[in-house]
Amino acid sequence: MNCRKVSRRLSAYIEGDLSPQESAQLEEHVKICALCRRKIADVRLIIETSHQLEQREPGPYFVNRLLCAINRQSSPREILSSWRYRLTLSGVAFAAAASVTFYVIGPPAAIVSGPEAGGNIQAGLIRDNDTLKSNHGFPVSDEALERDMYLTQKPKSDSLTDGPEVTAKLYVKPVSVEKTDSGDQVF
Amino acid sequence: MENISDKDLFAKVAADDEQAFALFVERYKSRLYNFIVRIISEKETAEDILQDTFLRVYNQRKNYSPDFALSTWVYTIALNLVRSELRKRKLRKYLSLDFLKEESDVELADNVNPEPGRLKPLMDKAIAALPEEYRTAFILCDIDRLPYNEIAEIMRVPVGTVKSRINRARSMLREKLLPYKELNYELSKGLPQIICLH
Repeated sequence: MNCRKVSRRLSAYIEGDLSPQESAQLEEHVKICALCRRKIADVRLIIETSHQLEQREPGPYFVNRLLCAINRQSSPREILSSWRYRLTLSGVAFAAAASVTFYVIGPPAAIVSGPEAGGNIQAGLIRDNDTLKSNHGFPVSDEALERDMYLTQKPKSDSLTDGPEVTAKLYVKPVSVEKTDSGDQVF
Repeated sequence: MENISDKDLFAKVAADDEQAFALFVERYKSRLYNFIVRIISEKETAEDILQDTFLRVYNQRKNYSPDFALSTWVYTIALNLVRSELRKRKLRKYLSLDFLKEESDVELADNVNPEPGRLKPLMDKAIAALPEEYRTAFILCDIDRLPYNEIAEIMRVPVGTVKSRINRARSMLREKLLPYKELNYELSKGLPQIICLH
């Protein structure tokens, strides 16, 4: 047996858990190894000292505190710690977070219905000479406007008086539209 | 009633006998507190965990299975709460960047020339500096003096693992206490003084 094996079997040897053969081998090694002898003595001392360590007691009012806690089992703290409450709370928190997100960012494909009839276009577009600007101030090309209008336009009927139902995206500010002989003018 | 067995006592507790519960608390509070406070190393938190342990035992009193030793069940509840607290602490420590500081070995090294009578406090500090799984095994075995099979059930590891952890914990303690080898080593008397263990 070598020092490493002795280290591994230290506790078993001290507690008498080793087989007689292993025990004899260990003792044989210890006879010639002062370091292992010392290790065994040290570990014995540690075990003895730990057995003598003083017992610590909880505070004098511990039992009273415990009995009070048992009596107010249905206190808010107890309810707060119950898993059902936590689950409900998580659900409410998730719903609130989703609402805030929806409000701040907006729906993924937010479409706002246009006016009932008359072909009024609900589009916050301002014509500055020949350049269209959105209410954000960024220029909007005619092609982009046409494409946008085409995508959001849903023909309601063939009647010229009814006009098509036109919808615009949420970010666009409504402005007034006048209908003239030459066509719709956007201001 | 004082000499009643754990099993019979808890049967009364399960039948809502308040006196039996008071006796049960009296019987276990010191043992559990010793166990908890040596792992947590903080009196107030240890008392809170002790209270939570008894509250859980009280709330679960109808669900206790007599197939397990009462002490095993109670210690398991306490250990779960202790581990939960240690996890919270670890997270707090991580969030506050305290983990960058040195570990508690520093405190141990502060006592340069302690007197022989101070071995026990040093032992306490050395135990507190052990890693959690070794500390728990050591406390349950050498301080609470529970049998290996019960420790294995409480820690939910095989008996072999418990034995090796205890052996390792004792060796680690020895290493931590080596600087104070001259303290109280009657058992080592007679050894050549030339041997240097450092």
